[in-house]
Amino acid sequence: MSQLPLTPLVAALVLASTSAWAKPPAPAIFCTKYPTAPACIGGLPACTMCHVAAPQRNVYGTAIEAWIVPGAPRPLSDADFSMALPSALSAVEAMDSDGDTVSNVVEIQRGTLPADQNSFPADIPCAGGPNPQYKVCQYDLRYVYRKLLLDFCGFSPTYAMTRQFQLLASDQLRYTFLDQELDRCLGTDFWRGKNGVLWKLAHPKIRPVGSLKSGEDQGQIPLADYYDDYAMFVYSHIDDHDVRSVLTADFYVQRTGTNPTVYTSVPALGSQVVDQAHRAGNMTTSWTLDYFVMFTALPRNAASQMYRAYLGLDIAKQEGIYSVANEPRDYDAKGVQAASCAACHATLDPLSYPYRNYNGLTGNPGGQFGRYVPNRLETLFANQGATLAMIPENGIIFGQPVASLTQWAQVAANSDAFLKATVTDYWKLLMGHPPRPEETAQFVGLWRSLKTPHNYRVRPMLHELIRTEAYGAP
Amino acid sequence: MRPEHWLVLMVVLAGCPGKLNRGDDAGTGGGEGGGSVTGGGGGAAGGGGGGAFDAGYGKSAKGNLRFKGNERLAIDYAVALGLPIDQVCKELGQYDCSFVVHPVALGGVDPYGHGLFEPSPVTGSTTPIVVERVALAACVKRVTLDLATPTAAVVFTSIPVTAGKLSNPQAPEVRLALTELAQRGWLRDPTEAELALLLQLNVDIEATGVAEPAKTWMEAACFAVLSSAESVFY
Repeated sequence: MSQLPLTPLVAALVLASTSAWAKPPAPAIFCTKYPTAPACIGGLPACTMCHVAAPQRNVYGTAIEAWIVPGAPRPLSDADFSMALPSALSAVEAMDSDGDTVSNVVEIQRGTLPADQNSFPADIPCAGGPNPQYKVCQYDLRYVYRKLLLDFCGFSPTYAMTRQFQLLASDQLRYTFLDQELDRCLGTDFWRGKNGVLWKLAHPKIRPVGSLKSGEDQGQIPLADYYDDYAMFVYSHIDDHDVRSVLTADFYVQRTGTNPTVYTSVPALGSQVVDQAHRAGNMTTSWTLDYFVMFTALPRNAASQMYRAYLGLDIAKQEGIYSVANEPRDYDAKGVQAASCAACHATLDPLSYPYRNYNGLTGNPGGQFGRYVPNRLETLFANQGATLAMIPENGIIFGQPVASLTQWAQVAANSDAFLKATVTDYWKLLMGHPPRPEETAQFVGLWRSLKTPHNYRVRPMLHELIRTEAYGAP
Repeated sequence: MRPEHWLVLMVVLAGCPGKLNRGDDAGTGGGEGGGSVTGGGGGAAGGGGGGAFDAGYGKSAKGNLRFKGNERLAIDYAVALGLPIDQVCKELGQYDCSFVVHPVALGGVDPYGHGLFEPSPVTGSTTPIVVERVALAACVKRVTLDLATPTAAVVFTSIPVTAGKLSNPQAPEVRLALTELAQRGWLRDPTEAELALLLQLNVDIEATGVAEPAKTWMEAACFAVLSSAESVFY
């Protein structure tokens, strides 16, 4: 392929793009300015708050840029940028950058996007007279009863059951009955069985491929048994187990029986080969390593998938960007120091380093596939670049240094991002949509309560969820 | 015109809750406007009719109707009509409509074979057709069983039929059957207006000259209830 000459115009464009660089300090400064904004509660806003895709700005970002040291040569230093950003944010507060008739500052405070015309607070008042069926706009116990059975058990109550529920002597008895029904449903196979609701929650995290499955329901190229991953996921979400186990467990989970399906923690499984000291729940199963690490020296794909699946942070969507100084180092010579790559890789690469000794499908199938292999890069990738072996095992997540993948998992599992992601999954499942701006307070209260007082147990969190106005008011 | 064509015509005319039941189908806060629901899946079989109808009922600020999806819909139909889950609907008499042939169209997933890990956030263009397919199959099955074995009938019990027609459309048994149907499909008693509309359906079907108007009416009434917004959404 012929290479185009680097004309002055191209060079100018490259420089211009550099001058338009997304600034790593920006999200934190934004949250210092707007600490109560929903985007800042338990995390930082995605780069898409101000950018289409860094460094290209959206309409809100463009409005801000005009107020950041106008006339000063670009690029600004991080210090100059950080100094100027707060006043620039103030300057555009009253503007309506996206033209949805709601000012930028109101959108920020309400949790909608100031650069998206289709995102604005929906303040639709309740209206009309009484409804013959449900108490529209108020928490309605009969509505909740039907919805609860459908959501958690998979079927509507019968007419007779509905009548019986209405005949209970008091609302207190109805609440108690709902709690009992919820516990009953959480024990059914519709909820926890193979291909049940919890398995469906796990699909996008595990990303199964039928043709690559080993064991039960074996495919044509049996690589690993991802049913073990489903078992771990479900186990961590039921029976008052610690939901963080999905990332931190040094045990495996065995699934047996049906109606009820039983999940039991076990010290070893024939289908799993990572030694106990290096296990981190579903981050280190045979399927995760075989499928997400596969043949790569630096398993960025595995790290980004765990970040996306269990922390709700999709780096490809510029979420969860915590740029690390002097990164990316580009040990594997992939060109990630290019301006358009570094914006994400300054976060992603340090996230990936702790995976350096977790092997996928390189080397000897019997002895090295899906295992923790000390000095993996030195032994299995010896001929693939002199700097590969320099990749450290310590990394950085959320700006916090970690010495190993198990530490990575601990930091991740103890983070607000994990709480938010866990509750968001259930919110979307049970409300039918992600938390809306008007539901922010209920959502934040719920994920915070998963930690305290519920001590990372999903069941009491779900009992609290069904009591929310968001769930119970038609 | 062949009888089944009349049946299709009748159920199309009757199946739309916006027309059948505009005055009272407010149980879930929906039914108006013609399906602009999002989130759990909007605009599948419900909504139809559109227009600016307003009975003065409370209006939800959320409008958060959710499509039941393949599993909940099939299970609810099975429970409502007293059918085994594997008898609700089968394509070619062999392949389950909701779990094997049309699960994705009904809001399900196909993770292992096609990498469809999450259901579509909106219902597809074929979703209403499949919902009606499943509802009609279940209703035909129920009516056939009820007529074949009256002593074990579940919905249409003891309804006098003479020469294929209802002997007396105003008979208490007819009203009881419709009430039973509403209680099973809507989990509530029908209103007088709803009963009147479902009875009028019999008059309309008989007027077509179809061979077995009573059977056709039972199937159409069942279909009208099971394919309504109140039955398909929650």
